Amino acid sequence: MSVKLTPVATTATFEITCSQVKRVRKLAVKPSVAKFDTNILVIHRIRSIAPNSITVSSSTEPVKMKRRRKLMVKPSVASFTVDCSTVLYYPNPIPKPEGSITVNGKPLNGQRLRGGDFHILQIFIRGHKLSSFQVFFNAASTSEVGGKILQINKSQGMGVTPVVLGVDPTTSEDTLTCNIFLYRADTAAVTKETEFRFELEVDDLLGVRYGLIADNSSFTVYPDAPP
Amino acid sequence: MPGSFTNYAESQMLNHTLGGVQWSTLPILYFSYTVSASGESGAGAEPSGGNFARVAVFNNLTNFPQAANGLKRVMTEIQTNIATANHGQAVDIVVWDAPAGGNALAYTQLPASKLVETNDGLLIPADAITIQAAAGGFFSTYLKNAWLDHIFGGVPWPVPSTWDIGYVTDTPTDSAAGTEPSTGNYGRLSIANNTIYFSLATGGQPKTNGQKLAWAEANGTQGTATHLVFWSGNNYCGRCQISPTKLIEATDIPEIDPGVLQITVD
Repeated sequence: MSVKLTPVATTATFEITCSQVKRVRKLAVKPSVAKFDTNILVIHRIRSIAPNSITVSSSTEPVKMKRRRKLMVKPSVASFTVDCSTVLYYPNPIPKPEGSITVNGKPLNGQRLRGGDFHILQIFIRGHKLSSFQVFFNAASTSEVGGKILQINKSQGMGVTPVVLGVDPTTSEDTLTCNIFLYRADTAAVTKETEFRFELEVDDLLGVRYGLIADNSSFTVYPDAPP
Repeated sequence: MPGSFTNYAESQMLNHTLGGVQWSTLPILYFSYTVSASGESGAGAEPSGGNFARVAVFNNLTNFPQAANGLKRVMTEIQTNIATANHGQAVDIVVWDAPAGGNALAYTQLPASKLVETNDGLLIPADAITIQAAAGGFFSTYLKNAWLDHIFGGVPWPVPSTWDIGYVTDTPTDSAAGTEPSTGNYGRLSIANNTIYFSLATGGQPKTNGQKLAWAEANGTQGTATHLVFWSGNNYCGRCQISPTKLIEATDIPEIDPGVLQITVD
């Protein structure tokens, strides 16, 4: 007698528990340079979310490494300067100075000077606050019609340090000496003796002229060669 | 010897420019001479008594014509009172914001010291005083002129509400901001002009950034950043040199840490 065996459905149940999950991320990094090529890195991410199942998934998302570029900046300066070129005494006029002129150490008055040569004149002016003055030496021929005028200007106090010898402690006044050159302004040779009257004119830098401080003196220029 | 703005004025300019702390224009400026040396930290001593007083000058473009190329001229004469007593040796000219006391704004040495005695006064002719911005530096020509007109001229330069800060790949000049990247997701960084971003400066100290400044991440090569440039609207206002220069490439995030910016007015 045959016996038909009927297998009984049987279920084999397996329980798998996962007590520890490690997440492994594999990065491909070039030594010393955080730079990536266009190849896609593959990350295998393992995560267990339920005790009776294990889910394994893989991702092919591209990974980008952001790089913070620290910028260093040099100190920057915005500079301004303030300048003053001129300062004058006020009010005007300033007390009139006194003066004299010498050539070669002798008073210019009555001197005979050779034409065509340089002659060094020395002008002495004594006054108060001389840095405000301009000094003009004017000389005009007295013996020629429409005589030639010799003019040499020496300015003081025009934004430069004036030539001041010092302060007389007894009078609190300033003296100055300046050397100027006297020569014919044109190229014409002196052909005969010519007398020049000269004067000193002083004015301040605000256009007020003091006028003359030299006596009405004269000097003579003689020819440098026989006519 | 040329003078300068004082630390007080320099700090006011810095905090107004970077920090949003308004420094209003002054309706009147006051000029005086001092009988001891002045400096950035403050003015020398002024005479006391003897009819001494500061000279008031209306702060307008008539007396201080519009600045050009960073140069401001004082086109009004400054004439002091006649002294009724000996004041001493005048050495400096100082500009103030008040008829007495107040703050010294700028100073310069007289071309020659002047003994001011009884019955003396001083007169500074028109166009004798100039204020010159040095070439280069942080401020652009636009901002140099704006500040000169603001302080001497009474023309307000409004406090920028925001700063747009970019970077360039060549060298800016006083008049030209340079070339900004055109690719790679470049954009200027727009920040509020306040004391959070730009810490308050005092006493001649430099202005610095109180917050990190970070630009957008580049998505392509932008070039080598050489300078930061500061924009107020469409006005190029200033620049700082980046050193060392930095190549900005894809995934780069350019940034500046707090305290890195050091900007001074001198």
